[in-house]
Amino acid sequence: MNPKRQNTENKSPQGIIGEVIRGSTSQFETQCYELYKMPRLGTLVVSDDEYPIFGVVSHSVTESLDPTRTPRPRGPGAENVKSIYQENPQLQNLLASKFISIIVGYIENDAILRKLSPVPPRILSLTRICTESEVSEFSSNFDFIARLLNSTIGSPDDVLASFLNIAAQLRPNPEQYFVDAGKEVATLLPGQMRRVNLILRNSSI
Amino acid sequence: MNSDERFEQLKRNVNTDNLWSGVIVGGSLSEGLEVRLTGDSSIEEVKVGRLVTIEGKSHRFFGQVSDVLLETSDRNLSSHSEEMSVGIISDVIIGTTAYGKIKIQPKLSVEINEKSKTPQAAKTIPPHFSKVATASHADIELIFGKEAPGKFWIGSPLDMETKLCLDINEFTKRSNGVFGKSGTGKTFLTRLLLAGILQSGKAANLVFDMHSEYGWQGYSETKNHQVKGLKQLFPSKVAIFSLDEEHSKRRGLTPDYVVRIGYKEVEPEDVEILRESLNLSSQAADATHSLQRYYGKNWLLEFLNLSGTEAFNMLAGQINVNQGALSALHRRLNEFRRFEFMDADSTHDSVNQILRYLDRGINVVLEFGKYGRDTDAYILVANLLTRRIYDRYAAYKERSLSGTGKEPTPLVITIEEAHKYLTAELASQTIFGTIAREMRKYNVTLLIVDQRPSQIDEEVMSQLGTKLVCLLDNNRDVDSVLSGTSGQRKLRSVLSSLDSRQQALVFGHALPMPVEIRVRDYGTSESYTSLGYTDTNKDKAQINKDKSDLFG
Repeated sequence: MNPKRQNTENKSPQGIIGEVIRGSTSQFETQCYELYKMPRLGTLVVSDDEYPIFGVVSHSVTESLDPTRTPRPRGPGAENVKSIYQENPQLQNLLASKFISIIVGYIENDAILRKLSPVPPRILSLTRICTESEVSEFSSNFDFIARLLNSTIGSPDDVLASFLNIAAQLRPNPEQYFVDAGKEVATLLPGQMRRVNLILRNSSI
Repeated sequence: MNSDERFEQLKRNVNTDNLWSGVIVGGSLSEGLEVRLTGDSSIEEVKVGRLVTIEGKSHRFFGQVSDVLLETSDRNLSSHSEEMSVGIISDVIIGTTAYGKIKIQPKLSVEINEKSKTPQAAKTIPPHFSKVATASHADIELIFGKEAPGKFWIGSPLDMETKLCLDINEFTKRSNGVFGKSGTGKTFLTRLLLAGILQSGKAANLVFDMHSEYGWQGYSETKNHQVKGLKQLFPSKVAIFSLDEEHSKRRGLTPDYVVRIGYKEVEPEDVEILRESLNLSSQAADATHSLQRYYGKNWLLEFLNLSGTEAFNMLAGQINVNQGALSALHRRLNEFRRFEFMDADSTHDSVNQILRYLDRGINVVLEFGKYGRDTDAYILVANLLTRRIYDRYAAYKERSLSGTGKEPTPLVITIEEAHKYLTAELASQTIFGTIAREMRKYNVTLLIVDQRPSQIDEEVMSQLGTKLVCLLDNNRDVDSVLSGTSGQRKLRSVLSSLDSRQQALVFGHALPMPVEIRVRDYGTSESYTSLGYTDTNKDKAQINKDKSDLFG
C-alpha cells in the first residue's frame, strides 16, 4: 500500500463512498453518498485526510435525515419494496445511510500505527473502502484486535469475526491466519475460550 | 577466516536440533525453574535430561530438564474439552491457554563478562523471562571441555551429536564405579574408560579381567560379533597376564606372562576374605592365623597335606582350635587344590612382573580364563596380588615423599563382582576396602564394575569419586548409587528412564554436573580408528606396495 494520501486518492477514487459527519478519537460516522450503499460490517475503511485514519465498520443505520419526520408506510398496495422506491423518488433525499467505524489505526510518516488516532478525522473528510492490499497489510499485525474487542459499539465479537473473515480470504492459507489471529484473541480473552471459539467459528464461515 | 575457524563458527550457529525454546516463569534454586515453552515449540521434542542454557542478565546458566508438564491457564478448559478439541480452536488453544511447561534444574553458571569462562556451581537463578534454549555444541564444550589429551570423549549427551568429554586426570585421582544391571553395557563402558586412561597416559591400569573381555577380544551381545580388546588396539601399551594359559591360547593369544601363585604366598587375610564364599565359620577363619604361627610361611600347604583324624586331633590340641572347625577349614581349603595356577614352588614372581610392566607405563590385564567362573579364585588372586602391589606402592610413595625416589605412576585397579568382597562385613578386612578409603594418597585407585551396588559397603560407595551408572531398577541399588548426591530425586527419575543399552548417567568428581549420555560406539572400525588404532595389516600392505613401486 502506498500510504501517501494523494496517491491513494488517485488510485481508487471510485472507492469513496461518503463523508465523515461526526468524528472522535475513537470512532467516526460516515454518511454514504447513496442510500443503502454502506459497506458490510467488518469492512476496513479509511477517512482520507492529512492523517489517513483507519476504521472498521461496526454499526450501520439507515434513517430519516430529519429526525422530526420519521418514515411512514407507503402501502398497502405496493408489490414490493423496489416499486415503493420507484414510486417515491423523494425517499432518496429524505433518508440517509450512515455507518460508524471504530478507529483502529492511522498513518503517520508513512507507517501504519495500529492505535487510536491522536486527533479525530475532520468533518467532511472523504471515506473510502480500503483496497485489498491495504487490508492485507493492515491485518498483518494483530494489534488492532484489542481495539475491536474493547469497543462498545455494536457487537464487537461479530465485527471482529467479519473483519478476520475478510482479511483471511486475502491470504494463501486462511486457516493458518485464523489460528494466528485466534491465538491473539485467546490471549486477550483469558478464561473465555467458548467466546474465542464462537468468534473463530463465525469468522471462518 | 580459515577452514577451522569457519567450522567453529558453523558449529556455534547450527544448534543441531533447536526444536524448542521457552522463558522462565518461576521456580527456585532448590526446586528447579519453571519454564513455559514458546507457542511454536513442540512439547514432544523436550526430553528429560536434556541440557539447556538460560541467558540471564549477567550470567549464563546451564541446567537439565527434570520434568515436562502440561499446563492450562483456564481452569474450566477441561470441562469444555470436547468442544475445544475440534477445529481451529484446538490449534489456537495449544500454545496459548494450554501450554507446555518444563522444569529445569540449574546446575552451573558462568559470568558473561568474566574472562575465565569456567562454569561454577549455580548459586543463584536467572530472572523472570530469561530465555531458555537447548544447549549447543559450544556450550557442551564450555562445560565439559574439548576433546584433547587428558579429556576423553566418552559419549554424547542424549539427543545430541556432540562429544562429551571426561577429565581423565580428575577421574584417576579417585576411585570410581561403573554400575548397571547385567547386559546394560557396563563392560563396553569400562573398556572405553580403560582405553581413555591408557590413551591419556595419566595412569597405568591393572585389570582383573574376570571374564576375559578387556584384554583380548570381547563379545558384543547386540551385534553378535567379536570386538577388539585393549591389547589389539594398543599392542605396545598393554600386556596380558593369564591364569589359564590354555584358555588364552585357544583364543589365539599368547599371554605375556602366565601367572602362578605359590601356596606360600597365601596369607590368612586371603582366606578371611573368602569366608563367606567358602562358607567358613569365623572360628575356622581365625584358625588360619594360628596355623600360620604354628607352621610358618608354608602353613597352607602343610595344613593341606595333613591327613588322618589323629593328626587333626593333635594339631587341634597344639594350636588350641576346635577340631571340628579345623577339619571344616581343611575341607574348604582343599578347594584350592583345584586351582592349577597354584603350586608348591615359592619362586614365583608374578607381583614383580606386574609391577615391572606397570612401572614402564604398560597396562596389565590379568585374564582369569576358566577361573573367571570361580569367584573364589578371582577373589583370592585379586586380593593376594593387590595386597602386595599396595605394599609396594605405599613404599614407593613414602620414598618419594622423603625425596629418595620418584613419584609412582598412578595406578587404576579394575575389579569386577565387587559386591562379593566389598560387603559391609568384609570391606574393612580386604585390601580393596583400604584402597577405596585411603589409597588415593598412595596413587592407587579402584575402578569398581558391579551390578549390585547395594551390597557394597556404604563407606566404600561414599568414597567413589565418579560414578557411571547404566540402567538399574532395583530400588536399593539405585539408593546406594545415588546416596550422598544432591538432587537425588531428580537423578532417580533420569536413571529410571535410561535405555537398557549404551546409555548411562555419569556424575561425580570428574564432571562439573551430572549428565545422561549415550555411550560412544565401540566395536566398529571407525570407533577403533577414533581411539587411535591403526590397522597394521593395512600398513604392511602399504609398505609392500611402496616397496614394489620403488624396486619393481
